[in-house]
Amino acid sequence: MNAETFFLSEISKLKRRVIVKTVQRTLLNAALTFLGICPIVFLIKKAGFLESGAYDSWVIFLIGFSLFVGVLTAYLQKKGFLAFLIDIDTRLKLKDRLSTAYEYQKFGEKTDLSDLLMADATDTLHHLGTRKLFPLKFSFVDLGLILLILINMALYSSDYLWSGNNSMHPNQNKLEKISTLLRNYSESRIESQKEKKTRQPNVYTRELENLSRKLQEGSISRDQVFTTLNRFLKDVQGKQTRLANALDTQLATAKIEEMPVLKIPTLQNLSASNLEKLKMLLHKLPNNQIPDSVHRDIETLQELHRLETLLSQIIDDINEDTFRNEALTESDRHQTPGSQYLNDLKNARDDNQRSKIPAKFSSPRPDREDPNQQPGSDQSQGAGRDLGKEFGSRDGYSSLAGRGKSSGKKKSSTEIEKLSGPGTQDEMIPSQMQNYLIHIRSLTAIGESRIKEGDIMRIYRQEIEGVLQKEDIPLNYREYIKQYFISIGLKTEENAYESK
Amino acid sequence: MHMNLNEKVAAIRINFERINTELTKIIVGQNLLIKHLFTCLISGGHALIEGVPGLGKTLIVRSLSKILDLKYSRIQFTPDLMPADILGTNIVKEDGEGSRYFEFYKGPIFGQLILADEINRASPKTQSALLEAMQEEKVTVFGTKYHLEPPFMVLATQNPIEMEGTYPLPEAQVDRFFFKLKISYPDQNELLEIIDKTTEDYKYELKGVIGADSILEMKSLVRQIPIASHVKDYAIRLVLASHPDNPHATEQIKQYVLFGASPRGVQSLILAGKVSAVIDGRYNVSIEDISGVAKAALRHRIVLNIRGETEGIDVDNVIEEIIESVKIR
Repeated sequence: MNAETFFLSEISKLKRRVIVKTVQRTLLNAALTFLGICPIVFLIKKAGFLESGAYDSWVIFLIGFSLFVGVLTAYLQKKGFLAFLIDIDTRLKLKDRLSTAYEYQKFGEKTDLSDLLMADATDTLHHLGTRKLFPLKFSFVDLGLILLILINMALYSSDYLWSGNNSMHPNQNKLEKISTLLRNYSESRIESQKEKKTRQPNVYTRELENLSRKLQEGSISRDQVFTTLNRFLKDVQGKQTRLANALDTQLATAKIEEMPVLKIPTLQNLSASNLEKLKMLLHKLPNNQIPDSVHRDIETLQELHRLETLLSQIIDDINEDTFRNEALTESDRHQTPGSQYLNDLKNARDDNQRSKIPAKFSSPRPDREDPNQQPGSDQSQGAGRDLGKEFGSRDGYSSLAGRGKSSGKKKSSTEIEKLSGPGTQDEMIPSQMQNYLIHIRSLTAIGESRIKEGDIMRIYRQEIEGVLQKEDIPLNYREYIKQYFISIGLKTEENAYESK
Repeated sequence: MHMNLNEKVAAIRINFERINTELTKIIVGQNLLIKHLFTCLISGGHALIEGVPGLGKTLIVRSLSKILDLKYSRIQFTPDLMPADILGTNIVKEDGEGSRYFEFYKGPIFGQLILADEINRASPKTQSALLEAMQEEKVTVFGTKYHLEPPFMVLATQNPIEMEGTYPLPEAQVDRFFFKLKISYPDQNELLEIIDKTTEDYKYELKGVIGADSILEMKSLVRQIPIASHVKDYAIRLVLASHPDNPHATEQIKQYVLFGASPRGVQSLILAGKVSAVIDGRYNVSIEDISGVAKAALRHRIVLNIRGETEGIDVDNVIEEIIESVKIR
């Protein structure tokens, strides 16, 4: 190894020490900056301008800022290594040995004496200790650092002691707040229960009771009954529409997100079961977004819907009765369907008081109800289940139009036309009354069905929604999937129409 | 004897110590003067020694000539001294057949160590006879060039206080001197030693220490001494700071200096710095080497204006201020 190699080795050592010193200076500057700003932020926090969460963020920001300042300061104070060697030469009175040797080595300026110079510089460096090269000087910067550490320690220790003495107060306040909230919640629950208990019976129910009483007394004619029922039906439908619109407005005002049912354009077209699903869905919403008024409106709407169904059924039955033969007229005098319904209505009102599910409202023939029929056993029938109860459906047969036994398969219109079995006309449903004949037309014999196509489609749509609710589908995807199926279904429906 | 480079450098220092030892046998004090004389010798420059009478100017040069084993010539400058008296002249000679021819008779300049004693007493015309010899180490007489034998060194002396009948050296002449050295007045101890050596039976014998070849070798070696760029930069800034029109010139320079140092001043600083470093046992020139020779190298190159002359400003003080003002970068 020649003199240049030895010299380079010593210079490498020196450079490593310089890097360590630079890092130390950077950290020192960062610490000075941090400790200098910390008391200011602390005082700002104490003055109430900063919350504890924001204070933590500020501390993290300060650390980053201090490091940035430290690096920036080190960068601005950065000197070349040659300048550093000149400083050492000047300080240690080395008479420019190191700087000259480094310059000659770095720039490759070779003379006969450069090797001697490097050897001399290596020897000089070798005999210089770290203490001499990097003397430990106590400067104003160090003094400032110590002062800042003391100031910060004083501030934070005093704060710790103060907060230790008063640590019980915030917990007590929190407990008081929690107890107040619980008390308010309990009171509101009690109030709402009282309100439910003291709710007055529906005015239409009272009217129907009066009508039933008059019919039993025979003080009212069939036409008058028909007129009264029609008026009731219009009133119910009007109120239903108004309430649905109001509910729609309320839901829109509540700005509820992720509510797929609310996307259905006409809220007043929702069935009772649909409204029940809507209610359940609203219950599932987080943060209790739904006001109580919405819940009340939905319940009222459900009641009105049931009432509308009941009135429609009564009116339909009365209309059918006018086309029956005279023999039936005699028996009708003893007990008309309307009076039977009104009796049921009275019973239903009592049931409604007991439970909010007026099952009898939707069952005009409670005595013909299949005892084997489990409520909600056939989910695929959806709202049709209620109508099935009304018409006393048998096991496996729908009482709606198209009462053929459901195979669970979806068939096209052409397939339906070709199907055998109870397609065109169902067998007669046995009745307690000998001459009571209900002629129900199925979907396969289009033309005489009295159920609106929209209702049928709504059933299918409800079934889709039921599946969506039943399956484990993420809430965010339900609307998307539902819209997809609805779009497919609507297209299929339109295509079926066009093909026909 | 073959020496390696390290030994050659060391030999320079040893030779200086030997010269110094020999000179101190007869010269009391004046260590700095001796060092500067050695520097001039190794640098290949000439020195102008200034001092009041009786301080040993001539003695130093004469003693040095004995130590250095060089051809020594002494020229006593007087107002009637002619250039031919220095350079030499053609003399008509007659051969045996009666034919006459010119033969050049070499003057005292054809030596190696020239003592130009009281150089300011000669006329400028005569003084100028030294210009070519000092700068180019050759003389031209009647169109014929004669090279001087190296090493060639002129040591001129002058008396600063005696102005009558003297001719101050022209600037061009002064600038050719590498150093202007001042002999300081001896202090009490030195005077006591001078008395002892001169009034008693003090016998001394000066030995020749080095010859011309050694001097030439040292002269070559010294020029290879490394010098860092910041040291060169320092020397340049020193010279530039001596100019009154320089933006970094001090107030004193602006007030009292007419002309600053010439580029020969920087050359002197660097070369003298190199010799100084070698004498100090180093292989590089330092800032201290430059500032150490600054007075000797610049004092005769800085010309004071009339205000400075009349106010008696000492150029050495001006140079000190320049050294103070020029910071190390």
